[in-house]
Amino acid sequence: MSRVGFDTERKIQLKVLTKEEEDAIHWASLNILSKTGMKIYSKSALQTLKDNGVDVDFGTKLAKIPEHLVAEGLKRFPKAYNLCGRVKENDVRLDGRHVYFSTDATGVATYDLETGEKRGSTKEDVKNAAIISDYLPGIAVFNPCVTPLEVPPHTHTLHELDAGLNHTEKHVMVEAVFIGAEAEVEVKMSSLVVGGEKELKRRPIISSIMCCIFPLTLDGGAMDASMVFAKAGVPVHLMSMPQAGTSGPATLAGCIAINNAEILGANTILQLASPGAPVLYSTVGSPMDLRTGGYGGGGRPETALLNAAGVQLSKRYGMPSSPGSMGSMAKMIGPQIGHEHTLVPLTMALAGGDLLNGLGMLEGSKVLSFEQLMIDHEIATAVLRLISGFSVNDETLSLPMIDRVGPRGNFLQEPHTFKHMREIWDPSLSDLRPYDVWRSSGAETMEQVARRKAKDILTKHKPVPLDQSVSKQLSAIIAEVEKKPFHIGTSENW
Amino acid sequence: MSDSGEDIRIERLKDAVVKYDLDNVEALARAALDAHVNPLAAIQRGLAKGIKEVGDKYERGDAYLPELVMAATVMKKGVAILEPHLPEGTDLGGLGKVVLGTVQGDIHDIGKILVGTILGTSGFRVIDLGVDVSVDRFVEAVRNESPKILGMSALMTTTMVNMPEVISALASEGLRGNVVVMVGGAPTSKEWAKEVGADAHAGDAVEASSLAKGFVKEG
Repeated sequence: MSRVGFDTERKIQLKVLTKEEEDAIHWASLNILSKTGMKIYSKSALQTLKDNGVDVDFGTKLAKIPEHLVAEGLKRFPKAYNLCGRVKENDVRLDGRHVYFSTDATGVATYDLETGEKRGSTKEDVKNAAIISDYLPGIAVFNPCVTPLEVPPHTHTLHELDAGLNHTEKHVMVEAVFIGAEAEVEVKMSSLVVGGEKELKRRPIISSIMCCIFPLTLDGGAMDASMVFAKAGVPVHLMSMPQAGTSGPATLAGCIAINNAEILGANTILQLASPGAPVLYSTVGSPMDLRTGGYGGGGRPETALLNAAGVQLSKRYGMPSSPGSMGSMAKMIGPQIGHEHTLVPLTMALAGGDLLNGLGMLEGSKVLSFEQLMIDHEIATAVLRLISGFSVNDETLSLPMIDRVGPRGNFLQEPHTFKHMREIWDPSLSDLRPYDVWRSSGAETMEQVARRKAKDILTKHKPVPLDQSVSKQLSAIIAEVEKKPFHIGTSENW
Repeated sequence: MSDSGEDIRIERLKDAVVKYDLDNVEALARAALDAHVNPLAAIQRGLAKGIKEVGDKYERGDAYLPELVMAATVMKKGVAILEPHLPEGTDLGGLGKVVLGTVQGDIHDIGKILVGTILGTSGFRVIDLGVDVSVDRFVEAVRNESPKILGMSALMTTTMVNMPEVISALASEGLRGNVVVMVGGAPTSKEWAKEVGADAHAGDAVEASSLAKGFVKEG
């Protein structure tokens, strides 16, 4: 198997909105931004808007963002760029023409690969997830899956990043950065690895998620952090999570209009503060659980419709996308997560999302299962295979061969078969053998095969480590922060 | 139920809640008052009985949350008409006060709002301190409001650590014994509640409500 991520071009395409519907949502979002406005708990973000003539209320934190600034914001971001790996072969090209997969973040528990027990997550888990993701070709980007609970809370994301940078050569994402000073440390750490801040701008080996708070609210610390990342040239995933029925209207159209407004609003601020900042359009929506009002998980038909609508809008704006793709409230590996983790990513791939996230997690992205990570990779590779379709030409039609082999013939021995057979998707976990053969060779379930293979990867696969001196400096930076914690919270300034 | 005029009018008030009849509940309440129906009976045997029926349906999984919320809204509208006509000092028989808040550093409170809504429909008086609530504000609210229950929420591993801060501040102020402390939010768990010295953890709003009712009955 190839070491680097798949580079799948899309042949099959899906749209969930007509052109008229797309226009209507676009105009609705502009109306929401200029009339209803957004609550923005970041002083620097509000100041940026005010400096550009926006009607801002520092008391209520409400800003009404006019259409001309949104339009300006839409002109400024790069329409195609790379999420870079530590090595060039692992670069992920975001240009609307390829589809990639990433893991998820940030859970708080892990199913132990040895004991099978669910326990609090550790840095060792992040490391192991990084090594497995580094190995699996269908995973292009590593998001740290879980947070290390054994380290001081204000250093959670720093340790996540440290484990990622040390144990995979692929692009690393950071999530749940909720303070500007924390982002500065992460920029410093990544710059060290890539060879300076200038080089980080040229080759962003990390990207950061900024999660808006639905509806129409931007967290202060998260926004401050995003402005730090944007300035450093670190791509920011502008994530909006409409929950139809609670934080959003029960109607998907209303949800996607607010979702689009949030992403356009956040983009406007970043582009005004740092023109040309690379961004991604990230819709991670779903209906609430109508019976409890709780998080409904991300594996439902409405999830697929909402996130596909997000992808379609991202294409309208020429903004690369990272739509919510795998998500499930399933408590264990089994049929529920199997169908949910297929339905939505398949739809996202058909819609043409660039970076599809969410591999490896149970319980609404709260719990990491290495076995599920392996199974999700299997699904991901099948989806990537499916969307590349097949080509029709003389070679693939192969009429002379068909004529030669003729009725009741067999193509097994043909050089043409030998030449093309590896183009067919090869499952690494699904068992295709007859019952008796499967039974006599151990009767393993898919979960057991996944566990065995995950352990095998962890024993055998050795990602190229960072230079020892760099690795030591990363630890030193974190140790420094551990000694002198920065204040955590939305209210650091005011 | 007999078919006296009073009983029929009270039954209609109950039905208004059960059928989420937001448009007609006020008129029905006024009509009951005009017909000299006892306002306390109109609330207790009418509106409150209706919300109990919807609440039971909800707990069985037969009603959706927005339906429960709508039923509560209908009831509130009816109560607003009837309440001024109750004799002064009438006790409507609530379950007591609950103080809720999302801990410092965190402004994610959708779940907490739902918990407040459900507790409100269950008969608690809910005082919601909002988001980004400091340790001092929690302590102050417990001191001033003397709630039976304090509920804290957090969405982030970086902010949930403020929960034990609040609990130990309550202890050092001598207030911990007076209040049941419940915690919730995505990164929290039963184990977490135990670790930080809370009395209970709820995984969702329904569990929060049944736990809260249990504590009040015990107390």
